[in-house]
Amino acid sequence: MQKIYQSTPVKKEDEGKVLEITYKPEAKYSLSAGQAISRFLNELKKGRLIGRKCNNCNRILVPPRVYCDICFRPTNEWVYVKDEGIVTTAVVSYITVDARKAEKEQVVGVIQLEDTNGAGIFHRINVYPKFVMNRKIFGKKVKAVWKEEEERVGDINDILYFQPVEELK
Amino acid sequence: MSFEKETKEVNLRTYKINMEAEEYSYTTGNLGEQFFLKIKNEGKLTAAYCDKCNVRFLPVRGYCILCGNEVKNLVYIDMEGVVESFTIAKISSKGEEFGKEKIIAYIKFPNTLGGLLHELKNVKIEELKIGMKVHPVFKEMKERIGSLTDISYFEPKT
Amino acid sequence: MKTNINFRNRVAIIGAGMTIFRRKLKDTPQELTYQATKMALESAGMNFKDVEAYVIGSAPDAFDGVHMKGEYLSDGALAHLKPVKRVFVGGATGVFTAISAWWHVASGMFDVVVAVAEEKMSSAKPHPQAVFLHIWDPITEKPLNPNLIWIFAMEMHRYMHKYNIKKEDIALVSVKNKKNALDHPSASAAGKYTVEDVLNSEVLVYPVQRLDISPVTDGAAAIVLASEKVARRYTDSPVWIEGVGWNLDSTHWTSRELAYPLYLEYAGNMAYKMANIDNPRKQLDFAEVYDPFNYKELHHMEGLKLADKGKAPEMVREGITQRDGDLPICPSGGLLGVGNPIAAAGMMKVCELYWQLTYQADKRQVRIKNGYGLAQAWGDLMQVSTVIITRGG
Repeated sequence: MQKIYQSTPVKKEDEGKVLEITYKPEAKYSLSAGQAISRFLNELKKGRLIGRKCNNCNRILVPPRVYCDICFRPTNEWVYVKDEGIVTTAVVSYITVDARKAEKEQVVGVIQLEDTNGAGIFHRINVYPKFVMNRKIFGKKVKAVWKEEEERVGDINDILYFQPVEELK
Repeated sequence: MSFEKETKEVNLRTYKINMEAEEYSYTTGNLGEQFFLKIKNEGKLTAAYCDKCNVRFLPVRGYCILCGNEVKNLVYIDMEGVVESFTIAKISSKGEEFGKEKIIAYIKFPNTLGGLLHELKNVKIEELKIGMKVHPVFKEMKERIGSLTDISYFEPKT
Repeated sequence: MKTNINFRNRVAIIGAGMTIFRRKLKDTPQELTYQATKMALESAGMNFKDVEAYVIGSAPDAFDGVHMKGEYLSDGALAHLKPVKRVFVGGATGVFTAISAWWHVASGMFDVVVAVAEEKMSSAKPHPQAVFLHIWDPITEKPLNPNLIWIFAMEMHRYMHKYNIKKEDIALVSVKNKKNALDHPSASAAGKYTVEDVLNSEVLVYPVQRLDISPVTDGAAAIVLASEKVARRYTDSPVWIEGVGWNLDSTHWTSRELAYPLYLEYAGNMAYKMANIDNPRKQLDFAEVYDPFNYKELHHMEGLKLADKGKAPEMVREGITQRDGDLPICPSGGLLGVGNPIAAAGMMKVCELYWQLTYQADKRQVRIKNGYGLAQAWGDLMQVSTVIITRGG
């Protein structure tokens, strides 16, 4: 028979009564974006999406990579892609990154970019939550809405969100 | 390689990020908690004691590192420790100069396995010796929080 | 057809142990490791001196807040001056720890190996979910400030959309597992719930609600593995490891079809082939599939070919996956009912194989016909699965 040693649970109401040692980590990093992503970010600043094409599988990789992760070979050329695509999944978030209640709900999802042969991008989608819950947004075409040119810094947030091309009813 | 590489550094991007949590809060275990409370409330050092092996050890934990049996008791130990090894640090973990050297020692205690890492003060560098006897200097009672830092530093026995 | 691979030793699980799983445990990670290891060794009739090597499993160091966690935890397993290694494949770690220990013994290098997994989720403040931020791509995804649950909500919603699955059916998984866990002595989230309770719980990231998710907990779990010649000396009822499999898909999850876990199909095939199982639906007596979210149990049943694509919810609705059903799924109560200390949760499922196949599962006992049970775990960016198949009797 399974025999259990008693570990000592700490109940939520006893939090603070148990001696704990605290520590604030300060793990700061500076990450290099590399060749492909650097160009991608610099193009975002200009309000454009760019990918790398692999001539072997004919996929356009967005965000771009210097190698094709299926064919295991260098990608061949830079290709601008339309900032439009089809929503493959979407959700409504009511919480923040650290699990606190968010002030306002937000819709995020995956957009399969047009004419890329399968490149998906993860971003915010500007749509009422009800269209996520009834899944009307699935399969619909959305287009990127960009920040004003002077506000763009070359970051994925230079795209404010993706917006349905036709109004949902 | 068919990739035309960007070589202008201005076009190559870096991203600055902070990793991990805002803060960690470590539980200390049943024995660990007692160990720190003895420091806080009594200004005394203790060690975990296995009565089967008749051995005491630091840092304290709820099992005997020799026989694998559960350990439930602490015993007071002689606070006069012996410097097992030491190092002289001139820069902090962030790479900043201390200005004045800092002596970090690994200190063992009589009849006790393991030991404690702590700062040594009130000793001239040229008088530092492995094997020298040192003892803890505790903070004022009201400043103690139940932590190894309740010991301000160790100093030679005068 | 059985895979034509040669290994030196047949490998048996001869002991298992786990701590209670709770939101927060006062014990240190080393002490939890000790408790689980000690219990596993006691159940095998062994002590620490009998162990030749250790495999330690733990998810990101950032949960416990200790770097080189494997080395840190090894103290609690009394592993000093012995061969030790740590494995880590995200949420799939727990089962992979057992797989790794299997090849330690199967290779002929060791006769007795302990596999132990530990996780302390309560150390990270303000919430361990924030630690998960760092599994996203740091440049193209992290700046959007994603919460971990987003990614699973997106997968769940895609799955629901593709096969037209209702939340009511998915909720049944939470109801079942939390009920099963009432009989598990380590459980932290057991209870009698209704589908309405699940559907009325707080919406976190639609379609994911509070009771769709397993709770973050502290805990540890361990097993003892032995070669055939040693196992026979210690027990009349060894639980043989018959098949193992693991597989990793691309990290570019946005370019994958999320409705079906292809990597799990491959991992499952690898394990089935090795175990000579060609009809898992019939040959397995039960399965401990990975259920950190309720929809994942369904998703994983389909990937493991225990259900046709999009059809797992039907099996749940018909009661087939209940403990007294035709194919019990998560008789332990799973992560939804027992708790989810990442690596330890996967190992808990391997422990359940041992308890079920040696008839030690008490009220949780399922009917053993063919003697086969399967445990599975899953993790990283929805991209990796690990599978282990055991046979008792």
